[in-house]
Amino acid sequence: MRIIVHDLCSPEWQAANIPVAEQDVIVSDDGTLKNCIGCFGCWVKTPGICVIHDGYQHMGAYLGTADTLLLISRNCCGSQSPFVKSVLDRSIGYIHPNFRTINGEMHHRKRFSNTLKLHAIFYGDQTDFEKNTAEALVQAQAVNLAAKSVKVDFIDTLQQLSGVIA
Amino acid sequence: MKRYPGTIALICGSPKQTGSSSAAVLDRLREKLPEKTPITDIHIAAKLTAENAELLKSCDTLLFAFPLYVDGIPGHLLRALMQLEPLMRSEQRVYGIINCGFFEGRQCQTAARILENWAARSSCNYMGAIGLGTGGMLTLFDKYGEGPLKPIETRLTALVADIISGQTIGFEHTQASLPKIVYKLAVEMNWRRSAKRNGLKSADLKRKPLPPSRQ
Ligand SMILES: Cc1cc2nc3c(=O)[nH]c(=O)nc-3n(C[C@H](O)[C@H](O)[C@H](O)COP(=O)(O)O)c2cc1C
Repeated sequence: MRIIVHDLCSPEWQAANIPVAEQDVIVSDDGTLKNCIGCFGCWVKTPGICVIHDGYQHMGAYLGTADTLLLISRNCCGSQSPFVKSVLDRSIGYIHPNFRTINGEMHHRKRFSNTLKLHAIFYGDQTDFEKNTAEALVQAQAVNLAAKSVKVDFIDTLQQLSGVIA
Repeated sequence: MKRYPGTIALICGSPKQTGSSSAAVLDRLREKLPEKTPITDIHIAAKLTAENAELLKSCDTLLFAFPLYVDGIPGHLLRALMQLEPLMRSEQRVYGIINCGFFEGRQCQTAARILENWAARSSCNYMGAIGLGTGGMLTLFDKYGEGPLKPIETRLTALVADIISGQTIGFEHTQASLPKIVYKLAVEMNWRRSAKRNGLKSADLKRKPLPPSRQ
């Protein structure tokens, strides 16, 4: 099952014509997303679930049942866009607060037993430096999410979307 | 002749209303600035207000202090940056202080690059950033400023000198001087304490909740 987080508006999403399976979960911007407030409630109050009940509080739990996390985002200065990034910020319930060492650096332990395939697609007008930054960002995120594989694609127009999604 | 640093905006980008490491670091930095430096304090905890956008437009040096979130810039701050992009002026200078919960300050480097790309798009001057690890300790300057937080103090003192003289700094990183294992155990003990205060047992931290559709 895939979790697809995207920042496309409804007509763009329709036009992209991305094949979606019945069990896939699509996370899009309905205008109600609140930003993470840095309280760590998803670790120490209701572990795995965010304390902001705006409809996006189950991201951690959804990720715990998924095999793929697909991120479709405008490249904003080498980052995912504010919406997609805020969803990721609201998803840290997926991991466990305690630490472990990976490649000599501190990272988090896993909460769930699944491992994700992380696929990030960046679209829009993007410089080489922004592409390099986005690549580095996703690679780092893959380590923190303990992903088993990571793929990053850059496309100029949304017409190319379905071509890079397997 | 250019005048450095002009009016400095000390921008706290943590969503926490109070008690953030970003605010604590800015407080330490403020104390190191020459007495008469004109300072504008701004907190971007959620949406960027029109008033804050106006204030930021008028400042000469913008110092963004914020936490590392999922290896990048917190979503709300990124949104604010996107809104500020068309308002920035080419004379403005931008510095960053990024703090992260992991031990190593170097993990903040990608977030610094995002800030640099933003400055390029905003056509203002990117002056560099510092990455601070051991973010969980950075509110404890009173207790540890002369001890484990000395490297952070030293880095902030150097940053102030660079801001005053208009120096670029690239990306510099540091963290508190204590063994990594001590930091790890202290933070993990804190999680257990917080959990207890919330009526949970240590084992509850491992819960694996199901999403609504799978319950
Ligand atoms: C949503 C979220 C994501 C985070 N992601 C990271 C991360 O990727 N790497 C890291 O070292 N710390 C991460 N942290 C920890 C914060 O960077 C750390 O707690 C920081 O000290 C908070 O700073 P503040 O008090 O100024 O908000 C994250 C915290 C939150 C709430």
